[in-house]
Amino acid sequence: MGLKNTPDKQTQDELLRATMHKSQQHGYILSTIDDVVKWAQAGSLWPLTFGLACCGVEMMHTAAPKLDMERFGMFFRPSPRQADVLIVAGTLTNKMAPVLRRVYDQMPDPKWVVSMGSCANGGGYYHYSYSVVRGCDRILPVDLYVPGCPPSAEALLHGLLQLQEKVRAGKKKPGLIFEQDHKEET
Amino acid sequence: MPQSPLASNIQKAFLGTAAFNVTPQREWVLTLREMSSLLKILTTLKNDFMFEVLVDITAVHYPERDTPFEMVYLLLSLQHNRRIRVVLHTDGTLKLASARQVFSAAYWYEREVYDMFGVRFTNHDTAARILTEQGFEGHPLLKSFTTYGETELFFNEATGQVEHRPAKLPQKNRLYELENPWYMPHYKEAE
Repeated sequence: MGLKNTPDKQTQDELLRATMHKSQQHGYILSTIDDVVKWAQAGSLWPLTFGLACCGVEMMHTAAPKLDMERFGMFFRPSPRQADVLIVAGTLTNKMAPVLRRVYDQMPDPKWVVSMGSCANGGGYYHYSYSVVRGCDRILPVDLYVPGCPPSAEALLHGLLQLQEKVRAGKKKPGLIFEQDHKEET
Repeated sequence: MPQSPLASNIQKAFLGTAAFNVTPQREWVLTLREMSSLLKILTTLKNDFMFEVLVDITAVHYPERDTPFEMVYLLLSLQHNRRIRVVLHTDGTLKLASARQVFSAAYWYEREVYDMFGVRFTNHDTAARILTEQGFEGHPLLKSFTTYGETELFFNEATGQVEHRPAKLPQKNRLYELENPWYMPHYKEAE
């Protein structure tokens, strides 16, 4: 088999449609390994309990019965070894930054990071403080930002659902955004 | 103002070493004349006058003074339902006597004062910081300290370490105007 023998797109589609139709009658579906993996990953995003400040309380509400994030296959893990998602919920202080990075490094791949609230996004209320990291994307590569001070539990859940979409789409992780900016300046 | 027996007793006991005052807010303030008498006074207050709780140790920085640091020791007597403030002026060059042997709670407070103001204490093995992170330089509550700090933290992917880099703020600190243009007296004058 080579590329030369590959049928054109229209024929491919017809072939695929016919096979799908046939397979559905026999009780199975066709997919790619990638799609199955993404489906499985998006369906069991286990976040790490990492509440740093008042955002942590909203994060807890997301797991509470009213919003019940377990119905989306997410539930909090106390150990980074078992977690897929790191929710940076709250003010990241200078003292906590190395710890956060270490926790992130301890998580097995594939892993995602959600930055929750103004403080984690860019320092927020404490932007001009000497003891606060001005955005957790200086320490970690962040996949998703949830705005708010603090974001409501609904907002965080919405963010997590967006993250599911991102995982399904198989988007690649960004690098350290501020790291790149800083290098360009200097 | 008529003084309570406790107040006059305290005044008598420290006649040579400290000045006892009652502020208009009725707070009791004991201002020390010499650094060396600090431990003796704290011991007397604790044992003889039942000021058994050390609520806080802190400091105030007055850069324009000869003795820029005002050390403040807040004591509470549960028995008398009274608080007293022991005030001590120091220039920050000499090490202060640690109050740890009188009140064991003093240790963390003194570390905090060292961290925030750079005032040093004797009887401490190392001047260990308590609030700021490892590798932090400077003392944040000094008036000369830049509010947003000299350095910021970044993760260095090459070394795998979180490191300090010189602080760069693209947007400067905002200055808030506290005078309200619609404040009533001004408004009336303008009319």
